Amino acid sequence: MSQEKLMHYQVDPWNCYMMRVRRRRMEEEDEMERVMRIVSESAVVIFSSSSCCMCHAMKSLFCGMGVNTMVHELDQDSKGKQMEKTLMRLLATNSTTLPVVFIGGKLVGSMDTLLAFHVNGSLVQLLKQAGALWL
Amino acid sequence: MASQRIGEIGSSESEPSSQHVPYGVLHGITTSTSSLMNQGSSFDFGELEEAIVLQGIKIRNDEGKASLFTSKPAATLEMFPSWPIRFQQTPRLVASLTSPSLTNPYGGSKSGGESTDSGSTELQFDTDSPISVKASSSDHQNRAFDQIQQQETATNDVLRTETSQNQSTAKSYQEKKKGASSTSEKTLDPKTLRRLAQNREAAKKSRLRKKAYVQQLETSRLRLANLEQDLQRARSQGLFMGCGGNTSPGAAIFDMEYARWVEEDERQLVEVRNGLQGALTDNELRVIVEGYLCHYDELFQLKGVAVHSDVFHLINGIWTSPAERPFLWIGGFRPSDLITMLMQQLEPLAEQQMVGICELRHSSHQAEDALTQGHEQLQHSIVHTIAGGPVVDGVQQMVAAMAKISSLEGFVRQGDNLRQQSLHQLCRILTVRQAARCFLIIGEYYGRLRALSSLWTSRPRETLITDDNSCQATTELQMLQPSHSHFSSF
Repeated sequence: MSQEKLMHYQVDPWNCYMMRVRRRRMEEEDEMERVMRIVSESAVVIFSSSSCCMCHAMKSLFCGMGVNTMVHELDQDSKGKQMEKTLMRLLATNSTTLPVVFIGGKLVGSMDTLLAFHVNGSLVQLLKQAGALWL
Repeated sequence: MASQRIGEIGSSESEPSSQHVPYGVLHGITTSTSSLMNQGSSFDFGELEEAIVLQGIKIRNDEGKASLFTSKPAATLEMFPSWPIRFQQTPRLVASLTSPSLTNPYGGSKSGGESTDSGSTELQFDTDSPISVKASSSDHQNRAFDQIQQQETATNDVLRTETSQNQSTAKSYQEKKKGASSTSEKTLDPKTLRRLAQNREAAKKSRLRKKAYVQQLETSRLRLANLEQDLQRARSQGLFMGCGGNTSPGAAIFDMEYARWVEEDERQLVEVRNGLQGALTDNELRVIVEGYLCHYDELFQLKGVAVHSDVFHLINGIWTSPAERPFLWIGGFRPSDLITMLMQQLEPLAEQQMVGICELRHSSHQAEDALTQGHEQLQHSIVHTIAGGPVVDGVQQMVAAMAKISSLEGFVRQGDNLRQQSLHQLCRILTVRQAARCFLIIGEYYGRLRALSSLWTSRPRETLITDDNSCQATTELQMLQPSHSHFSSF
């Protein structure tokens, strides 16, 4: 019996590897789906961390504009780490990127891009389109 | 000694190939000690001569000294056959070149003790000189001493009669050829030749070394002058470079780069001003405006690098001039303030542009508020971390504090990002001419702030304290001067 198992592993290493890869991809897809599900629930969704001060700045920016946002504190989520990894993959960056904001289910980005959009006036447009802001 | 050297130099020109320069070199360098001795002895001889002339007896008394002096020159006489030749350099002797004793002065000096004849014949030459009378002693040393003395008088005469120098040196050269026949074999001795060659090399090397050293000194002098100039300029602009020795290398580099940026800024400003005053087309002006925008982008790039290396340096604002520091907001200017100032100056604006600028001011103001709030929270958090909670774990505390400092970097970065975006948006809203005027206004504003700073730093301190009211203000100013941290932007 053990001999057979041994032979199986010796003969079929490529298969094992492929299985591992497939499993990981499925997990990633699950995560992505989860994220997509979350961001579609609300007009403005912020993925943040309760101890991060930049996240606090982003929250106060939207507050100051009178926009209601849904905040997801990743450090208080059981799957927070994985979601953070997913977000990093979405933003195509290797460094920790919180906060990340989605408006109308679409990715906007980090504080950098948010400020750029706000200054050039396109943030207001986006918010109006998503129904988060009425004037 | 000088005359001897002159003679050598003169002789070097007319000497046969076998001994060109070396003669001077030989005399000048190899036997430096002996030449020094000769020099010393020559001077002494001069004084002695005077003493002898005056008193006439001291020769006997100075025999001891003479022996000391002669021992060395006697030794060198072996090597410097020109000594006896020099002896014949008096103008009187020029006429009597063919005298038999001329042909063998060296021999005469060598065999001084043996042949009194040579001594007497030699004496015949300087019959006028009182020394010659005194030199009629049979003592070998005295004779040698006298010879040398006579040589020295001869040299002194040569010194006085400068016109005949060249003549006599040329003549002496011929003498050397004739008279040094007995010594010529000695000088062509391979060992001596090698020594001469080595001396030549050594002399050449030392000359080159001296040249290199002098060149090095010159270059470092120039560099010092340049550094002092830069320092002066930096001081006049109110930038304190390396104050208190607390600057990190990143901070020092940023200070230097910023100073360069300010210089470039002034240049670009002149270009913009000329562009506005001149009759340039819009496209040409657009090129200038975009160039100025790139110039600002460079500044933000510099600051981006500096944030990573030394965030505290950017925040405390020491890189700006003193008058700019009160208005600092997270390591730079506050965009809404700048826009407000611009709105006042750019009065004739179209409706659309007015709306655009107002919106820009509004959004940048909101962003500033958000960042300020986040920044304040960060500050409280840092204070809390450093103060420590009930469970104080040193390492953990420090690790947390370091993490907070990196978030501080993030805030400075966002502040710069906001500034950069505001400037770009401004250029999009306004026409080219208006944008150029904007940059001119901004540049002039900061130029005036810097001028105010330099005026303030160079103000006379005593005259400030006039009455009670101003006294408090001035004491405050004086207090604030050393501690710039009072100008907190938070």
